[in-house]
Amino acid sequence: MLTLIRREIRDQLLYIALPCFFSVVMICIATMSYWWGVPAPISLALAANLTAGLFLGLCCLGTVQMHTDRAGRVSVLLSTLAVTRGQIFLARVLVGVLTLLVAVIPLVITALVLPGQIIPQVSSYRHVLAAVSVTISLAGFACYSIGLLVGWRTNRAWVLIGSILLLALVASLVWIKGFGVDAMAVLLLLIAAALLRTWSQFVSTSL
Amino acid sequence: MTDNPIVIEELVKYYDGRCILDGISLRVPRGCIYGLLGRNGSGKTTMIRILLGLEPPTRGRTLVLGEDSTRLSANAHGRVGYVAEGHHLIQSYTVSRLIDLCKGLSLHWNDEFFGQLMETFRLPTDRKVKDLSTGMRAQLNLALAMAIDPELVILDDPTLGLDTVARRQFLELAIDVIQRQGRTILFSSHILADVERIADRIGILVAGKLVVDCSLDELKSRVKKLRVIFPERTPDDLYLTGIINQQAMGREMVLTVANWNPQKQAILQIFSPESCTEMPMTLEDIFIECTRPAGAVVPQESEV
Amino acid sequence: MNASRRYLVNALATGVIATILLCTGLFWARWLCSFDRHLLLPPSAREVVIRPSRRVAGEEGTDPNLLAPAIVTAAMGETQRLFYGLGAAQYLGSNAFPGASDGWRWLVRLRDEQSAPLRYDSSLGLFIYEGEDPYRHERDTRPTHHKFRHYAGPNGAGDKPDEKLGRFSSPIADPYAGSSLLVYDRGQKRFFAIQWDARGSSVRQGPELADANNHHPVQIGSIERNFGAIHMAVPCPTNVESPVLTQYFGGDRVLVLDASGRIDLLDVQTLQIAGVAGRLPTPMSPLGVARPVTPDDVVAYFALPFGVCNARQGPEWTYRGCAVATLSREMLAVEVACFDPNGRVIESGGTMFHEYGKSASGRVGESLRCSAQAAYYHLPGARSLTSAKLILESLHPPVLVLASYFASPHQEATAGFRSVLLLPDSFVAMVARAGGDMMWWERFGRVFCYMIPGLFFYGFLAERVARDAAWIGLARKTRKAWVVGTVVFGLPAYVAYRLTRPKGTLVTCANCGLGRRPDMEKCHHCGSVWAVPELIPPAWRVLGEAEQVEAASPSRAEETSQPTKSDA
Repeated sequence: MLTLIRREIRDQLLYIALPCFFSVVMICIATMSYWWGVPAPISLALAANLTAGLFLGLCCLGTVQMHTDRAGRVSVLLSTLAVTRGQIFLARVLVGVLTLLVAVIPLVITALVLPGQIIPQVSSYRHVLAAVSVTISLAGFACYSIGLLVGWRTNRAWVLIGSILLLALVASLVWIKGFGVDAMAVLLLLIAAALLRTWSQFVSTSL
Repeated sequence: MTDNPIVIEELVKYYDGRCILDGISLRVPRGCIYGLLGRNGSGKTTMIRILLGLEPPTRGRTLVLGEDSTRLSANAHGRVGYVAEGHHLIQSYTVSRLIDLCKGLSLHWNDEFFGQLMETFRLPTDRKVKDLSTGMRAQLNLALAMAIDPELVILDDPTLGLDTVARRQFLELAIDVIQRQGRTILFSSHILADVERIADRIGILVAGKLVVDCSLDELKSRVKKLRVIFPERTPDDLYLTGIINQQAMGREMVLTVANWNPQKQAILQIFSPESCTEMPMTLEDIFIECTRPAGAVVPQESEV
Repeated sequence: MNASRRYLVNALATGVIATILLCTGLFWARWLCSFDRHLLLPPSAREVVIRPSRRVAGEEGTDPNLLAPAIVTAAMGETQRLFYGLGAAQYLGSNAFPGASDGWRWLVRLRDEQSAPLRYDSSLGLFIYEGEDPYRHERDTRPTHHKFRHYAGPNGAGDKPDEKLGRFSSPIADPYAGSSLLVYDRGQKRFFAIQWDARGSSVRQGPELADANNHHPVQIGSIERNFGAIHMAVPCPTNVESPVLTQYFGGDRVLVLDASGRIDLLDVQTLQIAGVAGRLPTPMSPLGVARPVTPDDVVAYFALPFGVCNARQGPEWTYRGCAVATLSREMLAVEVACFDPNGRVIESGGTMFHEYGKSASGRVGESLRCSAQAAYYHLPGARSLTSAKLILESLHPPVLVLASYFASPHQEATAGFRSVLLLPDSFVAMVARAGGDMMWWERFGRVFCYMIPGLFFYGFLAERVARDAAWIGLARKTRKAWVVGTVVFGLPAYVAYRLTRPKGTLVTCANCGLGRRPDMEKCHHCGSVWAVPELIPPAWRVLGEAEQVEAASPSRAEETSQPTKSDA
């Protein structure tokens, strides 16, 4: 499993770096906002845009992981070695989770260290931060799962259009549902369903 | 340890509404080197891909090392060495990276043996796979498949695209490797001389069916090509079962017959031929006779 | 996992994805419709003005010739308010900015002292007041900043969270309170007054509510919800020489909103309910008058007490009544009512659309229509938007539409801005909430009418699914499940069916000529076994010893395809 995870990380390094890049930019902006005292609406708008970038990066990662596999017939070789398709898929998803954590955890730490920048003048700050970061993480992972689902298609145009459309829908779920338990439940359901369907397709289609 | 590393039961495969394999049943015993033959598009690669779980069967089932191909465990995968037609290696990797990957994902890795193979093949480890020649890719694929000490080796037209020298070199090494280690091998190729050299048992796919499945010696003894000269013209009412091919010209008739036996010989004697000479056949001759289009075969109506 | 179980998992997963994504797409389409409908309303239909003139004591002042007439205006907020209803905006609005309560922890912040927050700690069950007292002098030296923290419970206040202070359980308080905080404790069913002071706070306990079962206070002091979605004003005359009617800033009476929609008057001295001040007026819905509303039934409300202040005699206030405005769920109607000190309605009114046109008799005249109904049926473009709304609701999974009927009376008004799966603002939900004396069958009849387009559509889809499933040879049980699923879950089920149905080209059956599935042993139309006429294998076989015996008895399929070509 470790070999598979290492392979995924090495192969998709650029796409793993993309969400992390957005996270780093967000950290830089939060830090600068802290020192320069950027008004809350501006920092919130910036945070919202960069979060959308984070979602895009994660969706790209999922799409590319599956699409390059299918186009380059990587799994044909892998599945003739001592691994099952389930393990290949699991390794892929674990890399997605790892990327998400690498992108989100520093952001949360920054938000804890520089309170009031990402969500200014928050009352019960830690609770809000927990709710926001969990929801954002789940939404990011849902975008990643949707990327995996769409990326398995062979038609590039479909992959592109499908991922953009579905990404917009999934990201908009956060706008609609907010950061509460409702949003988390819907996102969890979506993640579970997307992963199950992708897994089901991945293990049953001809390679 | 199963007695038959490969078991195929009533395997049917359709592609886009077209039947490729129609009820194939086959057992390859342990230690056997099985040569699978057939014309282009006869379903050899499909059958192999189904065996490895790369393709789902339409009907029927296949077992590899005692496990259903659609649910092969990692352990079973790790005991099968596969050299694919076209050599599906990850093109963007360097050779050394690919080796590392395969090594990391193998159950057993015979470093010494792999080193020997690499030394023989003289493969550049710093080059990308896509920059290797077809021959080099074939050699790399074979080396990777053999390094895991597989119980079962599946070679799907491994010499496709190789020049004569490379093919000969590849084959000699393959034979050496295979024979030395006494593995079960399923071998598909269009180079029949190669198959004839190494195969114990032959299977020929024709029109979705496995029409030949026996040992090489048995095949040669049971498929006969006869030149029969009759006193006058060739008889119209010569009915024999198992006629693979038949050509008549004046008094002379050339017959290729499957399952040649004394009964058939007795029937032929009824027509009092002047002479009946057996023509020697190589595996290639047999293959060509067997895989001629069905229309070329004279329909048989009587039963012996 | 076997194939059938995998098929089930795949179908369920696809269904869930389709449901969530489709409902999200439909949500935005409906939201756009609402947005456009809101834009249709002209400014005159967004505002309501009532003049309870001469019926409010104190209008006249000291000079009966000078009248400061009471005018109450209420208007719905800008269209952008629709954005604020969305979950993310609402969450940040209620949690990230001061002066609001949230699901995690209740908090208030004193308006004047940003550095001295007042909050409630649910783990302690105590209110905490902390800050710095900059004016404390010690031994007559220069002022020092003294940090303090006071805890207040139902039994008293102190510097430490002592058990003697008791615990509040589920208290409510005015988030905009000053140094005197009024608290209602739902556990103890009584009011408390906490007087904060940097040098020592105190708690005053009221008696247990006499008729506690009929009192369920939900808000004290500032009676408002979704501030900004509704604007309201009473006139503030400038004549300060005489006692005039204006917004009530007295400290003796405080409004208390009850969960039933009633507004009570709290006597701050005795901490007892002194009487009824009024109730939330019911705004018009597009289907007519709804049931009497509760605080959860309206998107926004605002209550403004007014009274008479005699400036000459000092800050003496007399409570004279209150005006209350509410904004409907659809954000298309504002209703305002003016109440006298005894809680009786003096005057009320709602937003109206003035329509000019010919009547049936041919006269040109003006007719007044409720703004909500006008925005649905009468304004230019309203009917197209209403039709679009109906179509979009019809595309929603029928089971969720039906669930909305049962759930909507229990869903709070702004839920429609955040609800992806249920439709609290749908026509069906409006029927569920509609007032009047409708019998249950009448209600269901109307619900059925609104669901007819959807049912027709899904009936059509179910028929297509049934036909296709029969054509591709799905088992009878599976076929039934898909048909029922399509009728119940609608479009997502249909999408899931299309995406998970067995793939592959059908093969023409040699017996019946219809398409048959290659992965099935027998033709699902005629039951015949396989024959592959396009493949003509030779009759002979060269098989090993064991196989020859098998080959002597050819399979049924082979018999069917080539009955005359069997070999020995």
